[in-house]
Amino acid sequence: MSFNILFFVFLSGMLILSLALIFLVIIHQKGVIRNQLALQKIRENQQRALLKASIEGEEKERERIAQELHDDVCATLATVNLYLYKAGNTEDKIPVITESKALVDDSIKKLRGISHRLQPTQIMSENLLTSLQNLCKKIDSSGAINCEFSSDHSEPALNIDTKLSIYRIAQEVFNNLMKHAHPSNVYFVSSSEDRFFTLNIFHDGNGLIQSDFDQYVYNSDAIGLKNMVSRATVIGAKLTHSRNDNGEYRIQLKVPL
Amino acid sequence: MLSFNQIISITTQMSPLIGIGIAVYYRRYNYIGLILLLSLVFDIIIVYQKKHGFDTHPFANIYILTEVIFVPIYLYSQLLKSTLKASIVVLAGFVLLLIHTLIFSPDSYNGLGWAVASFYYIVLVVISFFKLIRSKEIMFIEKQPQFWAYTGILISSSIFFTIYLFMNTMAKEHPRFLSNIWVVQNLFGLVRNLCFAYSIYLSAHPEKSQEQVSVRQLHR
Repeated sequence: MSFNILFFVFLSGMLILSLALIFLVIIHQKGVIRNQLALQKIRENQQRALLKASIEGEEKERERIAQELHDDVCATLATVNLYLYKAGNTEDKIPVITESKALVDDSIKKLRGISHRLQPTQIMSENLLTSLQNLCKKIDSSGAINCEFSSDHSEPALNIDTKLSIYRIAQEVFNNLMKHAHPSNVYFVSSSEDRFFTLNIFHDGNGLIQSDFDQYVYNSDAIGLKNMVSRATVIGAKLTHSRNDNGEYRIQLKVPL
Repeated sequence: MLSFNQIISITTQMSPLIGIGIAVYYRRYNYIGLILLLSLVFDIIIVYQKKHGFDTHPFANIYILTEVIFVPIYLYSQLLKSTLKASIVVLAGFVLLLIHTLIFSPDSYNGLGWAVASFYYIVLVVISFFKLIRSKEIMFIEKQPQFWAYTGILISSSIFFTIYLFMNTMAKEHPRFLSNIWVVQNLFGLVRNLCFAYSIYLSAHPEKSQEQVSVRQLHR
């Protein structure tokens, strides 16, 4: 092979190598962009799903309140109205008025119940631990589940909205446990250390691990679960589901202080 | 009538003006612009020397020496600190090698020294490309000014490396072939200068290099 040919082969080889390197860089970068955009799209879809669930959750809650007011309180008040009408047309008004008073008292109780469910009084007075303890007491008093609450710290320094979100998440966890997990024992354990407030809910029912939870949140119409994630995201908290070696399930909510 | 070789030679010698013009127009002065300016100034001096029968070797060596300083400085500014430190030590070796050549053999082309310098640029550009693609920002790499500067350096250095490596052999055994090879060198010098000019243009238009990547653009 002559020198000229050898030289041009070498020259072409160097040129091809450098061009190949440049094309590889471009192709690699396109791949990175494609992956990042796909990831971004997944995140956007998840956010959209959470937002949708949040809106749907609110709608459902409104529907439930409207139904409760209509079927329960309105019906009772309509009966009171009838009683009062009857009282106007009878001589002996006392029993009718007594009956009406009892119905009005019942309505007040129901309205108070609805109001408390919407905005717990302890949370309003900024006491999260008492609210959680009372929630646990309610579960325990049902008789079906043994519920215990333990805490080794004072009231965490969180704002009222964050406390309310934590309470709502705990409420939702409780509802899910009643509906799906059917545990015999539930333990609410709150701790506050390393600039985090942590609420651990342990139970011995049919729980979820993280992958199952994610599956439900992002691939089903589980509005309650989506709402939990949405609320946790808003307050910057981390919600995790796991199972320990004893077969106990743990739902952990870690909130930055 | 000018020959093809002369046209290419003149075009290459004048091509830095495009980049310099863009830099002046947009008031965007950086190392790439400085490299182009040095290239233009030295080319004018060498052409003048040739025309008046002066020895062009010393100036050609000085030009390579200045390039060996400014090209790595530009690449260093894009590199990580630890790489920068290591590169400075390596650079010092090259500078000494070239100074040695200038002192002891000013009347000949330092082909091997130039080849080593070109190989050094190739290594630095590969590292710089690696750093560029490791950047966490989502970006279109071909819209980054560094990408075009690196491309220009890499393509031209690959060609220059081969030419300089065989230059002494060609000068002794194939002098006619060497005179034709300068056209190739000029052509790739032109490519490099055009890449530099585009790099300056992009650096003067940050909105182009910082364009957000959208799904629509990706699927275009």
